[in-house]
Amino acid sequence: MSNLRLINETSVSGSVNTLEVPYVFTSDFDIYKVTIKDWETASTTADNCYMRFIDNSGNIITTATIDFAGLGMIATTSFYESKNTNQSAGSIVFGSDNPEGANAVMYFFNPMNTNSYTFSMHQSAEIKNNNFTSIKQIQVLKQTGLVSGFSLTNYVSPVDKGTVRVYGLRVDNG
Amino acid sequence: MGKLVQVATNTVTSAVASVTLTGINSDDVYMIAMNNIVPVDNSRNLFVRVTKSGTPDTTSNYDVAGKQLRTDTTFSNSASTNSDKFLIHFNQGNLTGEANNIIYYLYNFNSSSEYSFITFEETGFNSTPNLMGNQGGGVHTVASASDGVHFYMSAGNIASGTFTLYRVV
Repeated sequence: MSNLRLINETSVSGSVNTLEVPYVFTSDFDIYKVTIKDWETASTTADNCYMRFIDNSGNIITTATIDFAGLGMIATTSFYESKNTNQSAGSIVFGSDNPEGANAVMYFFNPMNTNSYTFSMHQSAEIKNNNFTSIKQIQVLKQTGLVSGFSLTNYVSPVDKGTVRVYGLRVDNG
Repeated sequence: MGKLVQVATNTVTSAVASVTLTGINSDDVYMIAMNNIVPVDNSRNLFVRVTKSGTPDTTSNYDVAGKQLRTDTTFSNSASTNSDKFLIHFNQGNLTGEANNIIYYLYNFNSSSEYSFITFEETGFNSTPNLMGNQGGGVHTVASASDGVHFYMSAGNIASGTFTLYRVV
């Protein structure tokens, strides 16, 4: 059996601004790999998507305890740096529009370890307003409480397509 | 998505000087996943070497190029050539909640005629503390087979961390 275990698959249903993926992190794994594919806005209006963490009660964490640092690599113009500390919302995962959409791979570390903050990092590939961009980003939730999942939110332009898969990296001791 | 087959793992729960993962014996790509790595002493670099028949290679044949993402200042380039170790993970913090977390992919390690390449992604806290993570790649410019990877701190011991080597199939 593979040590990469599929835990959950969640797809956008209808037209929504936020997709919540709660209760996917457990004490069975310390590292998670998440793939996001075909994240598309319902209309042609482009938008950015940001991430938040979800606590062990299923609530989105909104306290200003998120730090992030990312490099935006745009095919048609200069690269840019994006960084901030003590934010209530997480970093931009990607931007997207319709019909091109966005895709990303993410890792989460230590979400159920009460001795460590929860860390994440991701890389995306997207087309927004006819410009290709890849974002490489790291992030931390500066809380040692339990984190059970995450949410993805478009600011204003709803999405009607997108699939998120969550995998756990199994470690077999002994 | 491909499968991961665990080859070796080491979870540090009491301080140790180093961690060595071996068992690379095929031409597959390998992956190392690391989490919750904390040094005993604050502000230490995590050094990395490849192993030849289980022994760390100390010759000056390690090259690295990466981009340091960080919250406190402009991102910097991180590059070195002909070092006696991979210089990738800097200024590790050990305060409450802080830890370093890393993903490697390993290429051509089993080849006796090609160099050993790695790619790395890192997210963690430095000792300031600030969020920081190096993203890039490296190469050990010796055309001989490597069977694993050796980790140690620039000074002092490793306090905690889980290091796991997988084969990607």
